[in-house]
Amino acid sequence: MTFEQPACQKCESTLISHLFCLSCNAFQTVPPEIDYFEVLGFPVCFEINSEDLEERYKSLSLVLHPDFFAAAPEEEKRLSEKASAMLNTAYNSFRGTTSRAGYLLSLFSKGKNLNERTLPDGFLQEMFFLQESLDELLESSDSSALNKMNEDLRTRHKEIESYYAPLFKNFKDLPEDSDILQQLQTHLNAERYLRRLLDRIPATD
Amino acid sequence: MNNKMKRIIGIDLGTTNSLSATVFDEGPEVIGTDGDFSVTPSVLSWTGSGWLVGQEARERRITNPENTVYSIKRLMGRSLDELSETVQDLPYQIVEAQRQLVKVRIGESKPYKEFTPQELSAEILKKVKQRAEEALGESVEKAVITVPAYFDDAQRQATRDACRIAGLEVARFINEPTAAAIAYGLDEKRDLQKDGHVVVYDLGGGTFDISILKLSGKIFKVVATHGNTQLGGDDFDQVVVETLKDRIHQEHPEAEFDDPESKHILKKTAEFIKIKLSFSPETDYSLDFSKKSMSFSGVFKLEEFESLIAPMIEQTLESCRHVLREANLSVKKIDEVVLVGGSTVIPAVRKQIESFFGRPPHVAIDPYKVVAIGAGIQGHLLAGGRRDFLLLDVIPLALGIETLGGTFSKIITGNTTIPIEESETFTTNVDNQTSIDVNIFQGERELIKDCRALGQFKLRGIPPMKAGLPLVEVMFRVDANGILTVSAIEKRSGKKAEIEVIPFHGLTQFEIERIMEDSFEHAVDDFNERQLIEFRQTAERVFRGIEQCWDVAENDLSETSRDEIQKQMDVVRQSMKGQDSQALKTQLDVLGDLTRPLADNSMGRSILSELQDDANLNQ
Ligand SMILES: Nc1ncnc2c1ncn2[C@@H]1O[C@H](COP(=O)(O)OP(=O)(O)OP(=O)(O)O)[C@@H](O)[C@H]1O
Ligand SMILES: [Mg+2]
Repeated sequence: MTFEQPACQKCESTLISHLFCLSCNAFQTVPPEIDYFEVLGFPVCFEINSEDLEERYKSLSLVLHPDFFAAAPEEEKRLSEKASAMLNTAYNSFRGTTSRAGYLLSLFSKGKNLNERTLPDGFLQEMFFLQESLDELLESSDSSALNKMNEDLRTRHKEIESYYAPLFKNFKDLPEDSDILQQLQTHLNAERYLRRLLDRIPATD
Repeated sequence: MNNKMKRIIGIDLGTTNSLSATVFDEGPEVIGTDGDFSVTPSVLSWTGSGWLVGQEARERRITNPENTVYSIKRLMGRSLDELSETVQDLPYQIVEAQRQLVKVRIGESKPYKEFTPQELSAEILKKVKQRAEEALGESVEKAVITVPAYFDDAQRQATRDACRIAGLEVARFINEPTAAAIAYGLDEKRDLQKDGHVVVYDLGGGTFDISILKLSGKIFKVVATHGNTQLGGDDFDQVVVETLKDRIHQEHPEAEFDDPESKHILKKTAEFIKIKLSFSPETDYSLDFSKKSMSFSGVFKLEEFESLIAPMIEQTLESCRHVLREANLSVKKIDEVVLVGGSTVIPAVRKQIESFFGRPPHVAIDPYKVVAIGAGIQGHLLAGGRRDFLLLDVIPLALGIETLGGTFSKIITGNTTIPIEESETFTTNVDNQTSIDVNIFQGERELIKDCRALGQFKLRGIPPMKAGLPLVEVMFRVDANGILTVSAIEKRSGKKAEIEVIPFHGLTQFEIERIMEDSFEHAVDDFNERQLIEFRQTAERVFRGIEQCWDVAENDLSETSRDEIQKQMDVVRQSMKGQDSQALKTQLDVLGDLTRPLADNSMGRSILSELQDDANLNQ
């Protein structure tokens, strides 16, 4: 998958987002399988600076949003709503580390069958243990101990999320290496498991 | 405003008061010719053949309680089950209609008149629209309408239907707190920090909303929102009503208060007490149940009021905690707190907010007007008047469908920026199945029994295949107004599945059209009668005003002018007994001209204060 600089279908200037031309303000006809990188105008890559993401999202919203097309013909209204919705979806997906990793993996693993159940070695035992202590804590409703557990689990969650980046880096040089894909999938599986555990802790202040 | 641009006004359609605003050459302001009375109380009163709306209706709450309807907003998009508590407190009758709709019933015996909340809300909108048109001197077709951020899809749909019935095109729904933030954020004169997190705390008559917005550059992004569509000043009144009843019972153990008149008197007194206590440590009150020939008076102390409402304020703070958590922010990260809504005038509310957020809230813009003004600014943007800011709003609650075992499977999560589209693929359970039932829900809980049913649809026309083979993609689309539409396609055959959405709590297109026709016919019939009642009330008001400042008039006016005024007052009285609304209007206008010298100084003020007292708008 390579990143091409696309041109506007109307004025032919270089596009940032595939959705809309910032030079001549024209909506582009986009294929349904357009990916989030094309929507946001970023090269396909895991690491996206969160400030860049915010900036891009804002500058595109400021031209695409339906509020600016309220008095426009129906067709343009529809296009703006559609484009805005795509932009929102792409942005939401890229904001979270895990959702971005998951999305990128889904792009790379098309047609490959990754195992969505594998977990890192020893992870399940660790989780069983944590689950038991959580059950006990929930029963005793000991809020300070629960807070402590919450913090520990969050730290562990961050740790899991930190495993993605190096794998995606390696991946660049080994595009056919499906073992790395499976490793990524495994970490994502672990993340999901841990998140479910975190969700069970009632919110406190 | 240039000629090509068609004005889009902003309307704050409140539980208690409604008003409109727009951007004038001088800047955004509430629309209205008579100062503070640009507010239309959200009250309706049935005259026997049509509705009186606003101030006139409000005045009939005591004289004509069974025909006077208020707090309609609380009924919008709700079923009788959900309303059970609210219904007990209301003096008018609410009955169940088909498809979980409710209707307001007027009349003590058959044939009753029954109205959906949508129709009633439309009457208020028509009145606001008409007043705006009079003040602006131009027709108004489009409006930005504000709704509580926490309104779910059914409540928004109901509001949209009300606008349709009122003949108003909704240019955009925006959330009330967001509107407030726009009003503050785009007001150069005030010092709201340009970038940062803003909390908008809106406690009105019927609803409580709390939202966190992030302002950066000229983008207002709603980060999280939470609230309670059944908590507000009405509930404060209600706890006072309960206390009053207890007190009366101690003296008159046999007294009953279930009749509409008593309910109205109690409610009005309670609200009077509440508002007085915003400015003084205690207040006298007296209740006069003329039909029962019973009266009662006493003193209400601030302390008692504060302890009564404490649990409700605490509930609002609970929502604040919730929304901070949603936004992943600590209190320290909040840069500004903006107060909206009449109930935020209560000192105990302000105190609690200040101590919760650790900073005094912003109150620079009148909390009654701020929502309408924000909507007016947004209307200006939509009309093409400016494009230097953008509002990114969210849907308050997750949308999804029922899956196996009654679990709620979310398709769009709560607090997602709109517009948004998400899809989910379903398949069949049995061979050759050609239809699937899909139940749509909205909420944040795990099980559908704890969420709100929005509607149901059947996917029909799926080509017969082995179980599990069809791929039916169901698309949820939420537009920039926060309104959901659903569509579906069977991906293997490319066949668009037919969807039949059966909305709960909603009106069908057919019903809307019927109501519009009905109300059109009524409008023609009742016009004279309605005007007659309105003008009679105006006359009463003017009389009271004149009486109040008659002493001053002695100094200001010559004897001849005073005689003329007296004579004209008699003429008006005569005219009030007649049936010709236009004649009455003409005589009133003459009286207006004669009293103009008074109105310019003393009378203007005293009529104003008399009216103000009535509208309970004294701050
Ligand atoms: N000075 C005051 N002190 C206490 N309460 C007040 C005061 N002035 C008005 N209120 C209350 O504020 C409420 C009306 O507020 P507001 O007009 O903001 O509500 P609304 O916009 O109609 O309602 P909502 O936003 O819930 O739809 C009423 O309950 C009224 O009694
Ligand atoms: Mg309000």
